[in-house]
Amino acid sequence: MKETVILGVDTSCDDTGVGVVRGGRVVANVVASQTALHTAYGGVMPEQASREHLSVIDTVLTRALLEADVTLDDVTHVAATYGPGLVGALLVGLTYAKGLAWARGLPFVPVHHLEGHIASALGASALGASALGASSLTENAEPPFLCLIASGGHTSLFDVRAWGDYGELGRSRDDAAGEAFDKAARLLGLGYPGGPALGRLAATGDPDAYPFTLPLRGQKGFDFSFSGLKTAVSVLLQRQPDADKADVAASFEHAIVESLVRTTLRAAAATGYGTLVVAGGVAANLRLRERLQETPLTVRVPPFELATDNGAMIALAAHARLQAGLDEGDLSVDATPYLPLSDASRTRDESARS
Amino acid sequence: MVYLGLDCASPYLALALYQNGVLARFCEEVGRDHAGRITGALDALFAQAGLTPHDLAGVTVGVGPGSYTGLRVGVAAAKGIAQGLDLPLRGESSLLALAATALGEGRPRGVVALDARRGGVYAGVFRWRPEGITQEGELVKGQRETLQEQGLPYFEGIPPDAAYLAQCAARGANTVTPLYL
Ligand SMILES: Nc1ncnc2c1ncn2[C@@H]1O[C@H](COP(=O)(O)OP(=O)(O)OP(=O)(O)O)[C@@H](O)[C@H]1O
Repeated sequence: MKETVILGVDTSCDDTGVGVVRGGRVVANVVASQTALHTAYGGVMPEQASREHLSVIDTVLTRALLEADVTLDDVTHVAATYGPGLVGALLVGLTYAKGLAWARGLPFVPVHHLEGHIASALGASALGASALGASSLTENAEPPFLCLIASGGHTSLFDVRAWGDYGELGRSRDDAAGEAFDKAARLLGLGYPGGPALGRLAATGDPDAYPFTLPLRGQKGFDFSFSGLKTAVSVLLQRQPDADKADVAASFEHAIVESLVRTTLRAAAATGYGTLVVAGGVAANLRLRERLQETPLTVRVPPFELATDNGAMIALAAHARLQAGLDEGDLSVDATPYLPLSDASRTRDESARS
Repeated sequence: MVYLGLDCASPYLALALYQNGVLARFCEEVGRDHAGRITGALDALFAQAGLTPHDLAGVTVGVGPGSYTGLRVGVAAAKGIAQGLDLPLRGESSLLALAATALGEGRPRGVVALDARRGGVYAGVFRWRPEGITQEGELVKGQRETLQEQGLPYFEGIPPDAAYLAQCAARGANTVTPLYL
């Protein structure tokens, strides 16, 4: 079989991402971030995000082809995120990718955004190994494994039984971990998105200064809940306006990291998996990485540019689906803002039967 | 030289192929479902003409005004098609495409309007000439009643003429700027 060259497009939120995966390896990953555009509002403005995606999508694709050193003639498949996400934003990348696939007569692979995050494991290296050169194909995480996705929009634990076969073990009942980082950062006056800034400030503080109660203690399941922690920070700052901000940041970060790690460890014990893949923007958090290294799990973290939203992970997911013999999708797929990952687990054959 | 015209800014999904005359048309009222219908409609259009996308020499898309989501679907699809085949892409006002449906030799001048919601309309005065249709003056946001009393034929709620857009593609690429009004 000819080596596959897959274009992957993601416009689910506020980043315009196009990546290229050749023979299973990421050869380009271009992301046009809209962070600066949304900073003034302290959050993502959906209409502005859609407009921005539309105005940059073609240049982002051109840059990705250049970076990959391929032309459209080399491309064998087109993949794009069809959900979940902001519907107007999703529509831009999805429709653009469909137009391109249609015009060139290429097979089209619709990808669930979270399946993309899971597949970023294919570009991951073992935590602790040097990021450079450590990602040969044999070192990639192949299912089954446990996957923790912690981003600005999602916090979930998945049982990844095989490519295309995912079971959700638990999820956040309220705020996502990244969202909690962002909200706490705002309370601390750190701007948007505040996760990275809060992480930096926390490094200089005492994580035991303010012992926040860990959420959902004693639960049997594997859910998360972070809005209470955010409220606790807010109450604390009201009562003690001169509290040391670095200490508050460190204590807050400690509570989130402990909650993520402890729940993940219980899920690992329940499933019997020894390998954990961590994806989503919060995977960049240093404290979380350190803490995970102390566990007996083999932890794989994609490089930062694959951990946050990007197009290469969508192409990786398409690659994994094709390798696993799952059906390609077709061009009739619609942008779907609310979409459980279990729906993407099914192949087209199965969904036709049900 | 075969050209493609498309417009998704109104409740219609309008597509056409043009080469010295109309080769094929697709125009259906789809409400808000342009995204779900567009590739199927493109297939039908090309099958009708017995052509493939590789026969194309250029694309024109209606850039609005109209539904934000609709016009974005049209522009996104057109960008994907044009870039996929390395074709020149042109953007033209969607009102121009409406004017092409409304006007002709027997009725060369009229007001063409589009529902702007909240009671108003976006409208422009257009003039047909054998060499093409042009807009006279600015696009205005106004009240139906006032515009209807101008003594000119008034058109609203008509389907766009995608073949006219396709014909414009012969003029080459321009900067495609969506009209978010
Ligand atoms: N070092 C860090 N520490 C903590 N949080 C971080 C760090 N770096 C990034 N984040 C958080 O990660 C989030 C961004 O991640 P990502 O781009 O994966 O998510 P998203 O686009 O918001 O959501 P989704 O992928 O669910 O659509 C933000 O909430 C940001 O604050």
